Amino acid sequence: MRYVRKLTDMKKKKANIKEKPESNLATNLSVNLRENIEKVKKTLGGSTDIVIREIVAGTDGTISLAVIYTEGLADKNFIQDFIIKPLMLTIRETEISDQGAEDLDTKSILKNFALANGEINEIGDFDVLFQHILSGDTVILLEGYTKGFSIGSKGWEDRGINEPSSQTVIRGPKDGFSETLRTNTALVRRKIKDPNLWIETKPIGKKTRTDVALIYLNGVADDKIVEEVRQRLNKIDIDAILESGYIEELIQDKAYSPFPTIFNTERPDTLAAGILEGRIALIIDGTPFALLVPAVFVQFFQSSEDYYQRFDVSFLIRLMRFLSFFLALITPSAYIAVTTFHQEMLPTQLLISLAAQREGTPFPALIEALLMELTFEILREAGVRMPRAIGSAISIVGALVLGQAAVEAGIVSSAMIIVVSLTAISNFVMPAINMAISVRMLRFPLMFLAATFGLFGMIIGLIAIVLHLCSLRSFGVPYMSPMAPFKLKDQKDVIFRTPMSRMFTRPTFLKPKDKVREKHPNPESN
Amino acid sequence: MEPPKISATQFTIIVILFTIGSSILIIPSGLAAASEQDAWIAGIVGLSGGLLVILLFNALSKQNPTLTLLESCEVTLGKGLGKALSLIFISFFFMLASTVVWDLVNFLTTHILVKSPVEVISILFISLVIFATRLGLETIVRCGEIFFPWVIGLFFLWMLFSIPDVKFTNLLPVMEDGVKPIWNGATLSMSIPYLQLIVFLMISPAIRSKKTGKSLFLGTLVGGLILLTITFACLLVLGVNETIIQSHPSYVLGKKISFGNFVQRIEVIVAIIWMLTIFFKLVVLFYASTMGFAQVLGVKDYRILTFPLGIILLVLSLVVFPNDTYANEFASTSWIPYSFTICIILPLLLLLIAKVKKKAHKV
Repeated sequence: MRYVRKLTDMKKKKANIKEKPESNLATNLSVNLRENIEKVKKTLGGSTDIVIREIVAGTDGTISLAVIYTEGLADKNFIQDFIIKPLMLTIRETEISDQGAEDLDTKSILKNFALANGEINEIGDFDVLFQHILSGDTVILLEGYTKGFSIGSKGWEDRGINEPSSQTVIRGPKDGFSETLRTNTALVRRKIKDPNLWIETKPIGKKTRTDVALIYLNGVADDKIVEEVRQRLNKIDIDAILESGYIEELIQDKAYSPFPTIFNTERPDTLAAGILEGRIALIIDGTPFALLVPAVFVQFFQSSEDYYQRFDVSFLIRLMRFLSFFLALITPSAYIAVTTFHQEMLPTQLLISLAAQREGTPFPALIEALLMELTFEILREAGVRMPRAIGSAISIVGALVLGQAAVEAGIVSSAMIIVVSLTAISNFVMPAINMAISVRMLRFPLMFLAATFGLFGMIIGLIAIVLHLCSLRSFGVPYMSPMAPFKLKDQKDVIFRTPMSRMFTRPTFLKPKDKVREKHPNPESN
Repeated sequence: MEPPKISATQFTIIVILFTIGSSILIIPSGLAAASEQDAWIAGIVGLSGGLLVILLFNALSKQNPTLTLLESCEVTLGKGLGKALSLIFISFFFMLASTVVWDLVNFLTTHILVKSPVEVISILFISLVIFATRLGLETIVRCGEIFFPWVIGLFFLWMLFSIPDVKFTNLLPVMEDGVKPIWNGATLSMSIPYLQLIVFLMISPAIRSKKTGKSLFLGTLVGGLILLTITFACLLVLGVNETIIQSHPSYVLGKKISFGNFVQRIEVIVAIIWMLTIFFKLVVLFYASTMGFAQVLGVKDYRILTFPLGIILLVLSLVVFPNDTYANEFASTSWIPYSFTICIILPLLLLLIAKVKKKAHKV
C-alpha cells in the first residue's frame, strides 16, 4: 500500500513541475469597444456558438454597444424581449432629462432605465467576462467605458425533474435531482423552508469551473465538520469536475478502502433528511447525484422509504437487508468451507445429496464457485452497459449459462447454482449501490481464505474486514458509529427504527448543535 | 502520535473478551483435572481470588493513573531498575502471547484443520494480529464492541441448547477429598486467566473517564461468570472423566448437543466464540508487549516494532511447547508460581515502594 502511495506521490511531483503558468486573462477591459470585441473573439477562437450583436443606441445614435452571449446556454427569448428590445427601442422613448439627472452617464442610464432585469452585475476584467458568458449570462460592453454589465439570462434545455432511476421507492416522493444545480437546490429548499438552510457555492475545476454547492442547516450542523468540508473543498486543485464522484474521491478520508465513506443520493428527500440530521450536503452542477457527509456504515442500509412505511415493517425490512448483506458476503465462501473442510457440519442426508452432485463435476469447489461468480459478474456488467434494445438477449443467455445447462454439461453442481443465485439476489437488496459493490469485491478474498483455511480462514477474513471498518472515519466521525463506539441513545435508528413519536433526538454521533427533534414526543402521555 | 482514548464501556468489553479468550476451551479440563467434580467450587474460589487481585491492580494503577504499568515502574524505581523490571513484565506478556498462539494452533490442528501445517496457520493469525495492532487501540476496542454481542449471543445459544443434556448427579459427591484439591484448582484458575489481567494496566491510562477500577472489576466479574458457567456445563453434561480426558471439553460439549433432532453439531458456534475471543486476547497482549518495548527502548511510534516482534512471536509460539502433555504439565505446575510471582509479588512490592516513597516525600 505504501509503495502505491509513494508511486502516486512521485507522479504528483512530476505533474507539479510540468504545470505551466496560467494564461493571463485577468486584464482589464479597454475603453475601445472594437478592441474589446476583437479580444473576446480572439480568446474564444471565433467559436460559432458565441453571439456578438453590435447595436447603435440612444436618441441620437451616439451610444454604440455590443451584446454578447452563448447560444444554447442563454435564453434567446429573454435576451430579445428584455435586453435587445429595450436597448434599441425603449431607450429612445425615455425622456431622460425629465428625471433631472443630466449629469448621468450612459452606463447608469442603461442600468437604471433601459435594462429591466433582476440579476445585473458590473464587470471590469476579461476573466469575469468569460466566466459570465460561458455560464449562460449575457454581457453588454459599451464604447468609452472600462466597465460592462452581465445580465443573468441562464436558460438552457434540461432533462426536467424525473423519477430517480436508482433508490426507487414504492411510497414516497417521486422527484429526483436533475443536472442543473439551481433546480436541485430549489428542490432542497422546497423541502426545508427554514432561513437557517444555508447554501454556499464555489466553482471548482480550473477548466470546467463546476459550481459546487455546500448546503447545511446552520445551528444544527457541527461547525467543525462544516469547516472541515470547506477546507477539503478548497484544497482541491484539479482541471475538471465532471461528476460528484470526482469530488467524492478528492475529499474522502481514506482512498485505499473498499468501503464508501461518502453517501450519494439522487433523491431530494434523502438529502433533506440528512441535512436535517445535521449532515452536510454537496450538490455538484452537472450531475443528479448529490453527496452527503459524514456518512456512517449503517446509513448505506437505510432507505428513505423506511420512514414512510410503518415502523414495524421498516424494522423487519431493515433486518432483512443486514441479513442479505451477510449472505452476499459469505454464502459462496461458507459453501466452499463446508464442502471442502467441514463436511461433518452438514446433516447426513444433505451431505449425501451434495456429494452425489459433486461426484460428476471435474473442479474443486473453489474453482467451481469462482467460475460461476465470475460468469455472473460478467453477465451483470454486460446487462448494465449494453444498449437497451438487445437487453432481452442477456436474460436468455444468462438463464442458459447460469442455469440447468451448466449443470447438465457437467461443469458445475446444481447446489453451486443456488449459491450463486442467492448471492446475486442478496446483493441487489442493498439500497446503496456503492455498498453493494464493496460486498461484491470482498466476496472473492473470502472465498480464497475459505478454500485454504476453511472456517478459520473465513473468520480471519471477517475480523480483518471489521477491523478495517472500525478504523475508518468519515470527516472525523467513526464509520461504525453508533455501534462502535456504542451509543445507546442513537440505537433508535440503526437496526431498529422506533416509531416517529419516539425519535426525540438527532443522532448524537454527528455532534449536532441542536439535539432535540421533538419537544413533546408522545401526545398520549400528556 | 495522539494517545488513544477509549470509553469505560469499551474497556469493560475488552476485559470480558480477554477473560473468556483461550480460557474458554482449556480451563474446564484443567480445573477438572485438579479438583475433579468440585471444579465448580474451585472456579468460584478462583474468581473471588481473582477479584481480590483486581483490587490490588486497581490500587497500583491509582498510584499513577495517567501512566502505564511500565512507566510507573520507572517513576517508582528509577530508570535502571525500572527498565529491568519492565523487561520482566514484557517477557511475561510475550510468553503469554506465545502460549495463546500455541493454544489456538493446537486446537485448530487437533479438531478443525487436521492436515494443515502449523506454521501457515500461525502466520495467518499473527499477520491479522499485527494488522490490528498497527491500526491502534481505538480500532481494536471498537472492533470488540462489534463482536461482543455476537460472542454473548452465541454463548447463550450454546448454553441454552445444552440444558436438555444436564445431569446433576455428575456433581456428586461434593468435596470428596476435602479442601486440598479445591485449593489446587483455585490457584490454577487464578493464574489462568485472572492474574493475566495485569496486562490491562498497560491500557488503563487510555480510558477517558476515571472509572478504570470499576470497569476492570466489572469486566473480570462478567468474564469470570461466563467461564464458571462453562465449567458447570462441562461437568453437568460430559461428567468428570470426559472433561478431564478431553483437552478441549467445551468443544466436545458443542458436538454432543442435540436439540429436538434439528439443532445438532453446533461445535462451530464454540469454535467461532473461541477464535473471536482468543483474537482479542492475543491482540491485547501483543499491543501491550509492543507498547512496552517502545517505552523501554524509547521508541516514539510502537508500530515500527510490530513486524519484528510478530516474527519473534511466530517462532516462539512454534517452540514454546513441544506437545499437549508438556503444555498441560507446564500450565498446572510451573505456570502457577511464575504468574504468581510476576502478577502478585512484584505489583505488591511496587505498591509498597510507591507508598513508602510518597510518605517519605511528605515528611
